[in-house]
Amino acid sequence: MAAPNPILVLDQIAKSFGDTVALHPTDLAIEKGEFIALMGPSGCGKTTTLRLIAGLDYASAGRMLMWGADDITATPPWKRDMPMVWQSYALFPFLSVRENVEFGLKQKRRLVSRDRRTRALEWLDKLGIADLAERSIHQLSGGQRQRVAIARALALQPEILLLDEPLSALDANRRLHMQSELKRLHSELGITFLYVTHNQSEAFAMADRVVILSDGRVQQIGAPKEVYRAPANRFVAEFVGANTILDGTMTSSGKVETPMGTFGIARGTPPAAHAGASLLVPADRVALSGGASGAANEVTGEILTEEFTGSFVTIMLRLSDGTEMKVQKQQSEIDGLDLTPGARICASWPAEVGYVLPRDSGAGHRVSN
Amino acid sequence: MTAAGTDRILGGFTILVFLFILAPMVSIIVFSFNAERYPSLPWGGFSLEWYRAVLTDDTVRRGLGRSLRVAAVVSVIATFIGFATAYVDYRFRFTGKLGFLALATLPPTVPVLILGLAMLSFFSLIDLVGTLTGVIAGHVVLCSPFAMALIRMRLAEMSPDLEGAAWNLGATRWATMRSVVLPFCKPAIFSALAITAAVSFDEFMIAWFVSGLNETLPVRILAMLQGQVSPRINAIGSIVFVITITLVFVAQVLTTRKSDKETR
Amino acid sequence: MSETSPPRRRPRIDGFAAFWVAPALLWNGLFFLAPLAFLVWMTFWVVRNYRLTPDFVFSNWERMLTRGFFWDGFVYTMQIGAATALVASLLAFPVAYYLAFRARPSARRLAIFLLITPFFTSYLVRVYAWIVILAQEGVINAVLGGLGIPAISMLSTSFATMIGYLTLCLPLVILIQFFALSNVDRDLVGASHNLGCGPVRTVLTVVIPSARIGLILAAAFAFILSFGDYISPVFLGGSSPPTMSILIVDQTKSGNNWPRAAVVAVVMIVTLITVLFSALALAYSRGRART
Repeated sequence: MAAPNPILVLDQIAKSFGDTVALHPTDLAIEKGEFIALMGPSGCGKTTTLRLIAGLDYASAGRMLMWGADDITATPPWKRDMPMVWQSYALFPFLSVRENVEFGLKQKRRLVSRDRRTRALEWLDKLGIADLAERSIHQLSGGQRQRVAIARALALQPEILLLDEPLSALDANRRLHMQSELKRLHSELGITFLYVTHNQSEAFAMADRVVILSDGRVQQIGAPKEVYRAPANRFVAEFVGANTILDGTMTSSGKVETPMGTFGIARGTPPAAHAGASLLVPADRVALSGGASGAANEVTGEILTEEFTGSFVTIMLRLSDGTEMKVQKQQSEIDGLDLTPGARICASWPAEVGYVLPRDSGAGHRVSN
Repeated sequence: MTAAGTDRILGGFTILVFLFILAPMVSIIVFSFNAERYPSLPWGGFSLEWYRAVLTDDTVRRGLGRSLRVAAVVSVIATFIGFATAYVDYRFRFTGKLGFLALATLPPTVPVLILGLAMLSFFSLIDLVGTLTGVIAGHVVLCSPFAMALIRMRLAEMSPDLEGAAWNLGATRWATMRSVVLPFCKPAIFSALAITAAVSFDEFMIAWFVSGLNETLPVRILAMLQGQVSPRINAIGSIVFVITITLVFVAQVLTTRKSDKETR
Repeated sequence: MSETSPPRRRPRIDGFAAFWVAPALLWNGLFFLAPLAFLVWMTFWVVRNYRLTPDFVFSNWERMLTRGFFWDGFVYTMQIGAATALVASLLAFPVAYYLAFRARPSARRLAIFLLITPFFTSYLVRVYAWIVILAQEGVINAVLGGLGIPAISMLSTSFATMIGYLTLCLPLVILIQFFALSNVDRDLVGASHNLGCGPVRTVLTVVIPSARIGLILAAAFAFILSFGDYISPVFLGGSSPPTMSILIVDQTKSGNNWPRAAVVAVVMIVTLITVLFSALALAYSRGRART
């Protein structure tokens, strides 16, 4: 499973605030040099986990180990070497940009002031804002403050960098730009990045592995591609993929029987015969046609909405039992189809893309290799 | 009645009320330059006689000196206590916090007369009556809530992530206090120093009960009030006004200027 | 100490936190709480042979509470305190309203500066100014004399005492009312106008109820300040009729009977606490059903 001696191990780490459980006992092993993303909807426990790792909150149970040996569970945050890039940037308003970047260096007291200054300016240069060094932070734009926050953390040359939704305050354009910069920094520096976000595309674009959380529990850990193609449970399927979920029952012949028809499946974890099953149909593998095409896995429905999202179109259909189906097509693929709301349409998909899960697979945790 | 009409009436009334509020201060300052002994109309001519008389009066000079010394010590101690209390309110949660805050902030709601009597009696047990130390002790009790309020308002503007960021970058809680919290609160701290000095400087009741023969200036003024009307009081009053107004002005400037300059 | 403290290996006492709690706790415990507690205890002491002696008797209470002059003083102090609270609130309201709703921002800033400043300047000296202004030979009578009107005797009256009380509390009352009115939801006012309510009715039925808490608090402060004041009743009111504060000073400075003075003081404290709690209860009660 995990390679020997990961840089950080969470062993049954849990956190409660009074009677509320923010994080259920959790195991996680983080490898040196990897870019790992903690993701999930708000309230899922990702920020709690990050704060526990940073030492800003005290774990209610469990152990935290660095390099497999150092128990840092009770170490105060100022003794841990895991600088964080905050969502609010948390820059010190009474210090200049350079002084902000020097702050951590000053606390560690390992460099003389001239060397601190040099190091700070080096990192500001790496982040492309060396000319702002003597400015007050009030004069900076959001994107510039972001870079100061990153420089401030990296100036300490840590082994682990923590990032708490650092891009959430940026507009879409800048966000994409920063995403590639962060990825570049990661590969250049070779240090471990621990990244928290609720934005799925962000995590998938940058991370080597993702950890998906919901309601304080880990739902799945794995590389983005695997998680996308083989979600461990219904929650993950809904969260990461553009999938339609058709609920039905498993037949004894290994197919899923639903009110819209019986469909063959090729992948997933089939439940026992006659048990409840959910069939996942990826939105981008569905073909649309005006009339029945006679394909094996086909349903009919009526158009609900048609949405342009830049490069592709998202179409919602309503099927006979009320289930809403999501279909994503390129604009070119749907020319000639009648997509006015209420129009009848047929949707079909090849059997090999159908993915089945047991119907009640909400709170499970399944790790893929 | 038009909106403009009511505006004018309200505005006029407001000006009248302000005239009422400011009349005493204006009249004191104006009549302190009046050559005529009795502060009334008609005007007797411009004169600095009363200032000369007051500034050469030994009891006044000693009183002024004591008041300034007391105010200086009180402002430092009260600001320290006020800062500590404000920080506790900002950072910590614990059982009994409400009681603690009540103990720290209730003094201004108790009539000064009663505080004076209580302190006189209690201090007589611990030998603080007739000393400036006793006055200082009493004044700090009265003044620290003002410092606490000013600094607490400033702390409310501090992003809750700032201390966490400092810890995360390697600063212990003491180092964070030194390098983050105190610098951030600097304008409010200076403001608190000025306000507490002003409150202590003008305080007469506690001083009257506790200071005994070591009169502060307001106690001297009180003694003079019990005598006849004297034009010297106008001069002393003006000096006292100018000192207090300067302190309050400095405090107000410090409180408003910094927060205008900063965006979030 | 709590979830918000940085995590530590749970020590018994958090030294850092204790350091910051200690100053107010110790200083106010010793110099505020202890004196007040002693004040209450002292009401049971006696003065024997001109010396303050520990004891536990009710004679001081009995003596003060059976005296006519004590209750006359109590009633008068309550009356003039309540009257001041009312007058101050009525005078302050138009001003606070104007500043909150109608004045330009620059005028507002200036007004607040002009309110805060006298609040911190010497009350003693300002009362002296009134002594002089209101005197027989003072400015007002000089002006009246110039107009051929005979002089009015204004000092040594309750009117003069109230002038002094207003000088003491009016700036604070205006400020508190101003903050309360500033926090009234402007949308409510707009909606009221939109539904046809005239400005005056809007003020009475929307603005005042919304600002209720602040308005009541302002009146309570006016009462507390006046109730406990000594300077105005003595120097402007001529000490007649005497207020409770005058009784206290008399018993202390002239009578040298601190226990009896303490009795008056304790009665004042209890009265003020009762008034304050009643005011808060009134302020925060739900009142009549909302329409």
